[in-house]
Amino acid sequence: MNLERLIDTWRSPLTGLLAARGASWAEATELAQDVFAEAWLSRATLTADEEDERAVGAWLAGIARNLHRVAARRRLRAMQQLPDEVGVEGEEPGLDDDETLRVRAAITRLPDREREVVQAFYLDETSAARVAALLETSERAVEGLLRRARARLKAALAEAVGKSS
Amino acid sequence: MDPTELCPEPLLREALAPRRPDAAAFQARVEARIAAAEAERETREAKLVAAPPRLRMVAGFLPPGLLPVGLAGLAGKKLTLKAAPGLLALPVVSLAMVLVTFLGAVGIVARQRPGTEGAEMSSVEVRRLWWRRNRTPALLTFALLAVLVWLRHSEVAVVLVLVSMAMTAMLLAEMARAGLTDRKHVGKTLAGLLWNIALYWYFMREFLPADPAGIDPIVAPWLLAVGAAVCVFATHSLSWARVKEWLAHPVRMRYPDKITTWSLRVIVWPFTFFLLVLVVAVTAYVLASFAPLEPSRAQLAEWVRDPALDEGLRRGAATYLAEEGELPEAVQLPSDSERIAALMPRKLEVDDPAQLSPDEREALAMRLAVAWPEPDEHQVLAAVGVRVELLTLLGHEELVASGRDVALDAVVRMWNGTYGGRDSAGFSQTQSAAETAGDSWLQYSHMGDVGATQAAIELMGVYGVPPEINLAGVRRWLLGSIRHERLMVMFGLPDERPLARLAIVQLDALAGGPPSFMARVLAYRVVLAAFLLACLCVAATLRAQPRGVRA
Repeated sequence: MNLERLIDTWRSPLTGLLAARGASWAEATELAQDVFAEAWLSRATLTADEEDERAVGAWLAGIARNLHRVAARRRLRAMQQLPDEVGVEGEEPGLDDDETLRVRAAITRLPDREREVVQAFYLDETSAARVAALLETSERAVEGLLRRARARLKAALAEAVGKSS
Repeated sequence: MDPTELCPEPLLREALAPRRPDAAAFQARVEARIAAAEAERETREAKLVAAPPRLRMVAGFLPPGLLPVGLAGLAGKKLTLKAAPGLLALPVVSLAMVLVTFLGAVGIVARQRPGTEGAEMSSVEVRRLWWRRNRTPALLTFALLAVLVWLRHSEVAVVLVLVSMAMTAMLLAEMARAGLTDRKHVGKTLAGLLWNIALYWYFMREFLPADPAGIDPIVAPWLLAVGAAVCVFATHSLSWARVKEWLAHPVRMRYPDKITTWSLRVIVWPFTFFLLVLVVAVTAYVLASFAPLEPSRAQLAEWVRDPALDEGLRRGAATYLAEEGELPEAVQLPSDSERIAALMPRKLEVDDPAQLSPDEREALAMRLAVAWPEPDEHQVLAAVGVRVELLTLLGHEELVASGRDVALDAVVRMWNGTYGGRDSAGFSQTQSAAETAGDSWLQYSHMGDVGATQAAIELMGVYGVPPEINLAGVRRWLLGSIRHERLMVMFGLPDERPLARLAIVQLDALAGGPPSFMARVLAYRVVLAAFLLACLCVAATLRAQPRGVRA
């Protein structure tokens, strides 16, 4: 197994997916790194062909699910020990234009499943097949979710522009 | 869908671009993690090499669940005599492996995905390897435990399992001292094994009516379960806050932004309250189980005074107290005539027994002396007991001896009916002719009955104790039946506890006095062993370092 290729192929969809499941972007990145390290250390357990993206995606998704569960518990504990206003990831002002900020805000308001596919698919260049492998669903289902999410986003953005003008 | 109605893809990519991880830094951090994990693994292996050879050998045949992560490569080593100390761990290891394999087969543990904690082999693979190499000794041990229970030597089986568990706990503690494992692993493993044994114990008692009192069927498994819970608490340093967090976790994960502190409290409070009630109930039950089971003389005197109690019970208590010279004054016991009146209609169909003339009493006594019950009569012990009491009340004690053979034969037969002669057993109510002749497997299938047992003890007080009867076993059975009766009363069944208590007093008188202090301690030996075992497991957990190989 080639670690560099594994990371290049799955880094972005996996990070986007983890971020869509409640982790902050920084946490999601850390978590994705843990997933790759774990996957590499236990690569002997992957019985399928490593060229089979569907099998590799499902395998990574399984590891991510377990680590995400542990991390979520840790995060919950940390949140309980901190004042309420701490721990909420905000937008850095001044780095993005208004439209970009509006898009990101609209993405966070998408239904869970749609947010997952949008963040996994658009974070970087990847294919619907890889996202489908991570979500353990079909490519068609991912494409359908993407279309619905984009339509919802378009409507949300139009509404936001109307309000601001 | 019209593309103009969709959000443009470049806009989405642009919006998410700032969140994109830097490829080079990402890869460097993954490699750093891998390097750290491999260094940790090397440290573990170095510790393993430095560990005593005996420990390495024993660790080799421990199943995957008992092996610390990273030592899974050792799993499945063939069991040899050099691992002799570990042989004692085999019963508990076999039980655990059978259970885990069964759960795996039915899919309950199938969701445990391999490779999630850096193991070199998946748990399924390690389990298979372990079975391949240790199948014969493990299955033989499991079969031995099953056969011991089947043959009603359940106490031997339980002692074997307890010793085995103690050995396993000590092995794990030693592995922790050698730096091969940590507190989390030790605590989780011991808690799991304690639960496993508690389950084994509980079901063994449920399905086989053997030895219900010598090994206390309820208290001991509870002690083990409480020990397991304490091990888990010791592992995680759990606080109420952690428990609440755990209970609310699924809701928080689903609606992370919608749960406020207030709603968290509302959700968790009933669980907290329920847990509190459960702990109090269990504690109260366990404490009640240790309350004295025999009645005190003051309690016997209370029974004698209580007209609402069964007359037989009152007279039995009065007889005992009279022999001791402690019968309370002004006690209104039924007169002999009243007692005859109470007993006779049940068996002799006399219209007005209280008005019997001396001649009629003589004739009745003669009739009783030649009409002893048949051995297969229902409740033969009680029937013989009634005749003995009637003959005594009629003033013809010399005729009681004529029933000796019938009485002792019935005593032995009803004892064997509950498979007596083993660890503990009561007397059954009945044995059919076919059973008596040995033609039916039912001859050993009867449950002990408190009334029949008390009647048998009274008969043995009159005619002597047959050599077949194990009085200590009868006593243990009565002690156990008192605890069972508590549950029966909860379901609205008649309370036979006073009768069982009286039977214990009569039995003690028969045996020349109550058991000594040591004998009483021995009666609780398995409960004490379970308690000590739970303490040993908790101590082993606490002594293990919190951060070991997984630090």
